[in-house]
Amino acid sequence: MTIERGLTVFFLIVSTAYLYASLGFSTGSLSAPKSGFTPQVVGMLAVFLCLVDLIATFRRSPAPGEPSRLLVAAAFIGGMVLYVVMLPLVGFLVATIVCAFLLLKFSGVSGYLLPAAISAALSGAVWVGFGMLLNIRLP
Amino acid sequence: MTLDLLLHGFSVALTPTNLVAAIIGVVFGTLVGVLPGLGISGAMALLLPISFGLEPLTALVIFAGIYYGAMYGGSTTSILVNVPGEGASVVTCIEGYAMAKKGRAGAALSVAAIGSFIAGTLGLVGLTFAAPQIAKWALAFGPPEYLAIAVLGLVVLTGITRGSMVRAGIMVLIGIMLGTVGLDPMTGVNRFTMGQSVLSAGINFVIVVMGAYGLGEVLYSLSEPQRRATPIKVKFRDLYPTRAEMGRAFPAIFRGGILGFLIGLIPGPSATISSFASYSLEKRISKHREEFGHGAIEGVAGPESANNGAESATLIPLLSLGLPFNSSTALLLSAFLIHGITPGPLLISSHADIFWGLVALMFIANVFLLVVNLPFVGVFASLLRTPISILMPMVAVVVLVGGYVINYRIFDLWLLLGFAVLGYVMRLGRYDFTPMVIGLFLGPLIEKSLQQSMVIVDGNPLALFARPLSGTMLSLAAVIIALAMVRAAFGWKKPTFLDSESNPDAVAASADSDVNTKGN
Repeated sequence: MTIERGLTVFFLIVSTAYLYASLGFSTGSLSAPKSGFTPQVVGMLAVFLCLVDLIATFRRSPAPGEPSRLLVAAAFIGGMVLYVVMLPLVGFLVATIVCAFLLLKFSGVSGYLLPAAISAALSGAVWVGFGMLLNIRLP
Repeated sequence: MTLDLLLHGFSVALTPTNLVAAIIGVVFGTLVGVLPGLGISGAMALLLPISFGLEPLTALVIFAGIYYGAMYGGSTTSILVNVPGEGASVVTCIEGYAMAKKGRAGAALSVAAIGSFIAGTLGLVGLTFAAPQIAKWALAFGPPEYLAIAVLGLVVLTGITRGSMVRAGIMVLIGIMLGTVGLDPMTGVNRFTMGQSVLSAGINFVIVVMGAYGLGEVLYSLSEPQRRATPIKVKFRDLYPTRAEMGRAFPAIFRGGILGFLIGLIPGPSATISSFASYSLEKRISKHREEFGHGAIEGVAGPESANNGAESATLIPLLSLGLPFNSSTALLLSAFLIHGITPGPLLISSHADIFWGLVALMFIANVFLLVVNLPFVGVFASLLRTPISILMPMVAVVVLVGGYVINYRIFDLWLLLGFAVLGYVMRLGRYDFTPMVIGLFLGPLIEKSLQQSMVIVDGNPLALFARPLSGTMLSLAAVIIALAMVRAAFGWKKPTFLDSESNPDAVAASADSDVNTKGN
């Protein structure tokens, strides 16, 4: 299944789940709408349009091929996830240096000295810029 | 009277801090336009938390500077590298790069800068006179009118956004759904929080924009085959166009500026649309049609003026009605709100210093755009040699830190990553994120207006059509939807501003997701 078709199905699932969840809230009446009114209207419209889009998308030939470096993007996402996990554990400086280094390697920077230097400089610059110049607290 | 107020605005705005802020905004905006990755919306979202500690006017002028600077920066890469820095600079690639190959890069850059300045200034003049007048009319608006404007704006947005109207409509509705997450202000009920107290405050719009436009663009840039940009060199002394070139460019600048301003009043990616529309117009009426595609200066002057004219016009509904219809004006609105100022009909009366000060500073930022950026174009162009593999991790780190300092919550970073992945995957699947962002932003307003309107009309929705203004706008929206359904039923194509036979490159470039997904 192509990404486009997968997204079409994904949005249909999301809209249906949203509509189902919205039924748990009170609709009220047309003259006194309550918290479920707008979600139910929006949910129904969304499900309808998603079904129309699903039919149109599956009747169409799939769009031409996706970019060849999806693995790079996936590794980059993994690096950013690691950053979010590490940040509350080891603090800003260590997390940023380690993860900036990994992100540079994943994006294709060769060697070890250059990525290490860039990640150290970047972390320092962000620390100085945010923490000292703009007076924004960093963990 | 208006001129007196504008002069008062200049007296408020002309402080050293504000002037420095204008320069910073314009230079940063140009950088953002030149370099791949961040885009206007991502840059503005990133600066939003950083601007907390600044005075309101100072913060707003930085954002306004980014707004204008990014348009010019986008044209720099279009002319020197044949890569559009922003969606609105796609057409500049066609003629600008052709001029650069003939040794006239400097002339193209100058004309782009001069055209941007003139059209931006004309647009600001339009804003100066139109915004206060519309704000006066809007004082009489009630919830039905706001509902109708928002609905019409969203319907027009879905009609103009690239791709099918159904798909854009789905994106708007998904955005509205995201906007309902959290505490319902009307009833006090927590909705769709899945038991997580952290979601009671709702989904932060800035986080969504930073994720989708900032990190999403980073992921897309990395996953594309890596290209090394080698910009054409421009010497300072080559920056001046000839008299003949300026003679041809000036009429195109004025035509483009006016066309862009009018198109900018329409919701949607108006800067991009106006640049294409201007290019088509110049090509149709030019006495030098044979030069188009090979370096016609009107093909640079018109579109570059049009996109700046449009940028000024999009500020009118924002400032006078408090309604943004693209993601960068939505972020500008966020900047206002963060500093305790609510754009809308009461902005001009209750915060006159802010409004007129901002308008004055935008005039000044426009001057700085010309004076600062043109001589340093070589410096900006040299930044293009920075490999994407080094630039993108740096952008990612700054965006992640920026996302954290908004509320100091790790949950926001998870949201940021989630929307980054969604924005990236949507880009690959040729979905446009912009309608979702606008739906998210306008969703709470639409819901509040809908509920209040239903109370006013005692539950009879047809009564909304009986009111002159809301009835007209809702009827227009219904006609647009009906036309789209008829078009779909008969298999007619969506109208475009491009003739694909005469502009195959531009059409091909516009088919690339770059056109609409950097947030403009």
